[in-house]
Amino acid sequence: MFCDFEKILEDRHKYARELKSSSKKNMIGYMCSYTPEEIIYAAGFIPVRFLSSEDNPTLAETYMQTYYCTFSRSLLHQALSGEIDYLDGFVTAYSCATMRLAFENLQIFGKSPYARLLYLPGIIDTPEAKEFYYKELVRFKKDMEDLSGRVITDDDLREAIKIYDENRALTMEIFEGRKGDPPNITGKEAFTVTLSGMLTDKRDHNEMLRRLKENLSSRDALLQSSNRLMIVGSPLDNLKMFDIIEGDGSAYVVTDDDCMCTRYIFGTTPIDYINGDPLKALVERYLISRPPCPSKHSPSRYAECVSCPFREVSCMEMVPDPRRKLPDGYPFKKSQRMCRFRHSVKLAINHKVEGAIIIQQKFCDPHGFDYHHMVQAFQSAGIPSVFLEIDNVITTGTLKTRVQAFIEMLEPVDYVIEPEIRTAIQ
Amino acid sequence: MKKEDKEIKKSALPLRTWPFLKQVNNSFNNEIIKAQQDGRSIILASAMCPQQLAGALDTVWVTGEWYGSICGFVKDVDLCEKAERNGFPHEMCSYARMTLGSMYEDRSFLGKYPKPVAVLGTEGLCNVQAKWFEAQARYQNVPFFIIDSAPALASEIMPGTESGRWKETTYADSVEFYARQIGNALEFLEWATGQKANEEKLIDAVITQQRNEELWDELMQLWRAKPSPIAGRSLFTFENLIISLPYRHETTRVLEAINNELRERVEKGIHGIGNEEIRLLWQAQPGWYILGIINYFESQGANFVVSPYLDLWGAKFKHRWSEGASPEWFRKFEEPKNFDDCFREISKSIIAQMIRPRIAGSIKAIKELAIEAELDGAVFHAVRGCKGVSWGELAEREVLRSDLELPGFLLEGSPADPRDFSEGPAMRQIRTFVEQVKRMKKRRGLNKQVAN
Repeated sequence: MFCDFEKILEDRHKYARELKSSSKKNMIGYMCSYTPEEIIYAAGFIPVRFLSSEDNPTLAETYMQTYYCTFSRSLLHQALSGEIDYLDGFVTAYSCATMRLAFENLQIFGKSPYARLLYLPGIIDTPEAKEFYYKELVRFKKDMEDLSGRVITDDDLREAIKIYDENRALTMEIFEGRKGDPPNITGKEAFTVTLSGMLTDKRDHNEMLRRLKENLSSRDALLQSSNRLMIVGSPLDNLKMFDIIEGDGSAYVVTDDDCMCTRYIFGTTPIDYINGDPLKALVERYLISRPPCPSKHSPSRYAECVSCPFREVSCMEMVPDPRRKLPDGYPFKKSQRMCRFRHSVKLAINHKVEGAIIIQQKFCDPHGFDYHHMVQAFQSAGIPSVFLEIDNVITTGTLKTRVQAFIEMLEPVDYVIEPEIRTAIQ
Repeated sequence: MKKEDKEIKKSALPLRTWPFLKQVNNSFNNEIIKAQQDGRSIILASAMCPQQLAGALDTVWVTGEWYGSICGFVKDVDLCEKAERNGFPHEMCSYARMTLGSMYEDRSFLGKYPKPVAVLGTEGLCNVQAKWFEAQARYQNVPFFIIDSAPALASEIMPGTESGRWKETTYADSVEFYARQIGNALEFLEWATGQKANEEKLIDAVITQQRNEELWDELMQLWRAKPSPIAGRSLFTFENLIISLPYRHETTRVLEAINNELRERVEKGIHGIGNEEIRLLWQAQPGWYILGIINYFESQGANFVVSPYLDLWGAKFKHRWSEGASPEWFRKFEEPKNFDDCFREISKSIIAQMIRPRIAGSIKAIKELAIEAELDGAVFHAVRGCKGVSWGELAEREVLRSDLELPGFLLEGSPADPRDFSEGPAMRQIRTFVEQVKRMKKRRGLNKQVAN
């Protein structure tokens, strides 16, 4: 059922070379899920996401100290080693300092004809940020036109947005089955679906998703008595992690907040905007609609958080003291952006999660700082969590021991949630 | 450290300005303590936030980096451990862990942790400068505002890789974007402190900071005279002025005094260390708990005479990294007449600083510096947990080695957490490095003689 998806991931470089040859399309590599692939696609390129590998990133170590995460060093290593020489250019949206360092080294020491760090604001829901990002997209679109030798019309962009939104919608429909008891697909299969979609033409991937949707209806149920887990944290593209968690059938990962899976596909492009200026639609999709990662902020969430039941424990921004009234004259509007912690807890509750695995790439600052608050957010909903630090090489033995111990201690979660928390997450 | 290492070959005269500097630093500490007692507004912020805004309001502006550095200097490791016990990983910035630990324990070198009325963070140089301050604001239950200084990261602003096509518009857009956010930040601070910003005072703060940065340029230039009139170690103490008190008049007075003194020293031939034999570059902030290690370098006739990290705070030098790439208007200071002018000048200044960590610019600049300051080698402090500052050090070291045959040494540590530094192995490596620098200098001299 998942063979087509797995085939892409088995040897992704071989697959990409074959796809390039058969499709006669050039390919643009990108690092971060915030990269607006639709513009690349509308220019006639196939966007291909960089994934890490378990190889020792020796070539990157000439340029990046070992206290930068191995995920980013692995990406640079692959670029410098020529493993991804089938790519015709590189682009990434700014996400974190470490990825930026990897990308800048690639720009200078790699041999790509085109490399562009696309500036995506760190503060995402202010009028200034939207205006600036819009101007960046205009410049990026022009670059893509020059690189492809063709003009990208608004209709081209609308068509690309349609294909990408369809991909998101189909994946989300399939993922609805993860809410079932038992779920209809495993966590490994869910990640296989999204990761494969980052490496192929989205039009083809949509076909694969449609077939999968049909086939899933006749699938035998997974094990009934397994524990329901959630993954939250740094980019996870090494599927060995799922062999550790789900390998013996004692638990399934039924949802996640990870940029390699749901954070990549959640949030379609607002329809009101598509009919107008499609670049503005992309601004809305990438800055507002999709779930934020920990390196994206909003200066005005302060006003909104005053009424948040998570205020006692954590939240993206804070006004923890309920007795304190927000004074008149607060100079900013309410944030449009969703709260990361609230989003994660909402996913957990909606998927009846019994335990959360908080995964952090070693040396990942944004996720490292969020850990403290994420644990408290889960606690507020009565969901236990465990912290796992990972590298590009998954050390099966030690991780398995910890995961098994965590699963063994899990008990059914009493989903008696305070009404105000339930209201907050809806 | 071995006994013989401690012997300073020839001691230089102490600085006359030193007591003046200490007085200003002590008076700033007292100002914070008094503000806590009197209920005067304290703003806690990242050093990369526009500090001139503090001048427009009656506030005391405490930068987390300065606070963390003093905690590191007094080796208060318990504070780091406290932050780690609260779930903040050891791999994170040690300034952040020191400050968070101080907040949880409510104690510091100032007595109690200075409770702010508002917190300002920034996103751009690194993610920590946002997340660290966000965590403090949450715990302190005070309003938080965040400024995005990352427009400097757009590709078109990266010297050496820009196509040129978007250069003008990207700079203009970035300056406007940042300037508007500064306006928002001031509005936020007015709301948080219940004060009305004073335009005249803001203009004065912007002009004073510009003046101080120009004086800092001059200090950097005097420092790299051959032989240098000041020991490199001293500059790290002066750094506090330009990082934590950049907009203040007392900073002007200290910088004027030290520059006059150094000019006099250059004229009279007074050296910073007794016998300057080799000239080195120091990259990144120092480990505040291991400043003594620099004594060893000095005992061997090695002086640090230049630092790209310290250059970053100068009015002219901060533009070094974008020279040839940035438009002229961007590098030129225009005296402000009103709020908007102020926001625009601050915006240009901070964006220029943010360009420093772009690798293409930094490897170009470090080569120029090495030639200009007649360097013999470089020490790169690989600062664990500080991804923004130790950015690109390996590429810089590689370029110095391959293009100028200058040896570079990577000293791994952290600015504030002594547990990240292992003195024994580091000293062995430093001894070898100093010998290597001397040998290579000799060889270059011989090669030059042969060539002539």
